[in-house]
Amino acid sequence: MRKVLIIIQREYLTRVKRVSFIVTTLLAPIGFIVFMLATVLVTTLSADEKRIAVIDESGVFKETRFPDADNKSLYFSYPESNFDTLFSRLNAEGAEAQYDAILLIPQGFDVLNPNRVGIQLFTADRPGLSMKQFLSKTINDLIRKKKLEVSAIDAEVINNLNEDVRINYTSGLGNEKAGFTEVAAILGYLIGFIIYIALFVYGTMTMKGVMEEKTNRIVEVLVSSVKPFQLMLGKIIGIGAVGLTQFVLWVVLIFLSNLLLGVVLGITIGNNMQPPSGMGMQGEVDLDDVQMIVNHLSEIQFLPLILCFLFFFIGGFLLYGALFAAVGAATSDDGDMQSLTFPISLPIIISALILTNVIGNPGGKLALWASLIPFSSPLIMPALMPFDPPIWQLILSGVFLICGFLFTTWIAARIYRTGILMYGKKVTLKELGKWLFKST
Amino acid sequence: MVQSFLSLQNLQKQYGNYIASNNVSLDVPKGCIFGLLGPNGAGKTTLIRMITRIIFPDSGNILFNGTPLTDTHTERIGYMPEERGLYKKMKVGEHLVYLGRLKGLSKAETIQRMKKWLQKFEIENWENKRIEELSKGMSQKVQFIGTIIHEPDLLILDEPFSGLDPINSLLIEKEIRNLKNEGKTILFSTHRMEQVEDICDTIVLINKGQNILCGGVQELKQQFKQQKMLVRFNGILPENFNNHFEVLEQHENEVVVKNKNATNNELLKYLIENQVGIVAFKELLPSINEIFITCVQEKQA
Repeated sequence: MRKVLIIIQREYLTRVKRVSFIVTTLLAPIGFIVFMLATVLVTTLSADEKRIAVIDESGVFKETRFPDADNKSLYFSYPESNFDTLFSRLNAEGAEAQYDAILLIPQGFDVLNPNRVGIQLFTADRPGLSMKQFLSKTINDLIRKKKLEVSAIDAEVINNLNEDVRINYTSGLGNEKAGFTEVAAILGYLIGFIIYIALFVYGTMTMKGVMEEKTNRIVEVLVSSVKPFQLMLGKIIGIGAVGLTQFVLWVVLIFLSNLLLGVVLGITIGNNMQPPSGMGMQGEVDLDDVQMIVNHLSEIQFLPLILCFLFFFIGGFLLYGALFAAVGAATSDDGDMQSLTFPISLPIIISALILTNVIGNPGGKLALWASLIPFSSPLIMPALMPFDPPIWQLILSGVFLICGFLFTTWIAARIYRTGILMYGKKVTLKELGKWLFKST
Repeated sequence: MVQSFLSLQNLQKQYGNYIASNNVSLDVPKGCIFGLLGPNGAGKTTLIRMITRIIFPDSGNILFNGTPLTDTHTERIGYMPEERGLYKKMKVGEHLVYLGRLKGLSKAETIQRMKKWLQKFEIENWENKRIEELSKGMSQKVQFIGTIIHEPDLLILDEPFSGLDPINSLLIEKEIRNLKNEGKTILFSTHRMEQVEDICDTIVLINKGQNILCGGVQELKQQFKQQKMLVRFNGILPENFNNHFEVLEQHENEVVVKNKNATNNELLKYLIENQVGIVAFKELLPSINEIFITCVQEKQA
């Protein structure tokens, strides 16, 4: 055991001290900060002020004021001067003119037939998409109101007709909050995806580590001091610990950088999630959604989720790490490696593919089986956690996973001990099968 | 009789139909340099891997200092394989400490010994160099230190001089002799027979997985000698020399005689009486290589 610890220590320290580890670990949160800053910047930049002069020749909107944009990017003015004066000034001075655009509601404009004598917008530059969208929405809203006035229909009635039906969901677990399933699904996807990536990244790292030992021939010296199994175990655990360290550092760094952004710029993830073009009604709705997500997130029990994530990450990594190590031991060139990696990548890829189905139907048969089978449970079970799976399912899945990795480690150890001392021979799956039952 | 430190008894190892070790028995005396000789593919590495417990014999026993070999003994064995490497990204110092700790030394102890050896080889300034910065000869020095850092009682060196320049070869050879003088037992495997004659005390010849000959280097040479005498002289040999003695080779001032019927004294007497000026007179002993070839041919015949 002491020797396994020494091996773990080496595998861990040599990787953690490597420049590439430090760079990737630090870059991720920096990337996150850059992304956040970019979002803020885009929002502020697009809030370039535009002044629109409204010339109402028809007199339809005499008593009405056009609402300015919420993000203060568009202002309406009602100058006394007539259209021709403004228009010639706009043409002569271009971007330097007092107004960036002229909204002309021509003589004879009819609310009930608004396209017969159409409303026109004159600009110096080509109008931007957000300006166009905002104007058409604002004008349509105003015209609808005017139409209702003309038709003598109460606006209340219309609002009533347009209201969406809200269904209250109640499950055996109690009253379901609106939108909770969606939040759980997003969280489930995220967890499944992280484990998927982690299995591949750290699995490959294990495989390359074993191959390095084999190709640079240090392995024979090592196995004269320790048993091949100890060497393999030490490597898998050491690299698994590197993975965990990276995760923990990312979580801590992202948390800290979010905090830092909050202090410096007054934004945090929670209240920064408005869309950049946050104008009018749309923005308000999204803000509500964000608020809802934040509320639901605070309702999810994070401790069991994190514990489950850690358990299944470690279990899954031990299970697949052993297999990746075996492939590393069995091959001595990249071509062989790719063909032998395929059979062990397949269950991971399939698990990721059924993740969508499982999250769409977390109580279904597929979800149940996929969460129990050790080859898919490392992805599926943690992704199901936000849906509060029954405790027996969780325990059974955990037990199966432990059995699963004991089994794959046994297989891997037998391939490993033969493979690491075998050079220059092309290894087939049939050959690997023979190694399983061979004595050393 | 010298107590045997390592004893292999009827070791059998088979891979499929291929017999890598065929009923090999041999005894390695304590405190000697023992040569394990044989051509490539003779089964030397298989024997060594069984001694280092990397692989296990199908049948037979290995005794280490009189007791059956177990995993705990691996800490008393130092092994430098023929194909040897190091972790390229590690620093020399930490690599040596890692190897030492895997052999059961404490961290503090290993660091102390690592520094001692680096100093002894006058390479203290390498401690913080990465392995990948070293030349091949340099990394072989590091490998040698890594093999002996835990002061093993049994040192197994598989082709230790391959790829070494003459100066480093001499350095390693000197250390091997030092270790022998300290009472360590050294098992030295090579296919280059000429190398072992002046290093090894005892040898075993392995061919096709079998022990075909075992004994002290000098005893074997005596055992296999063919009574050949070399005479170097001034002047000319008498004309009827060939009638009295069997001449194997004849050069201008040198003759090799197979001394079958006559004794050395008779040969000398004849030469002196015939007024041949003798410059040198010595017995020609067979090389280990010649002995090996003789043995293999005998087996085949």
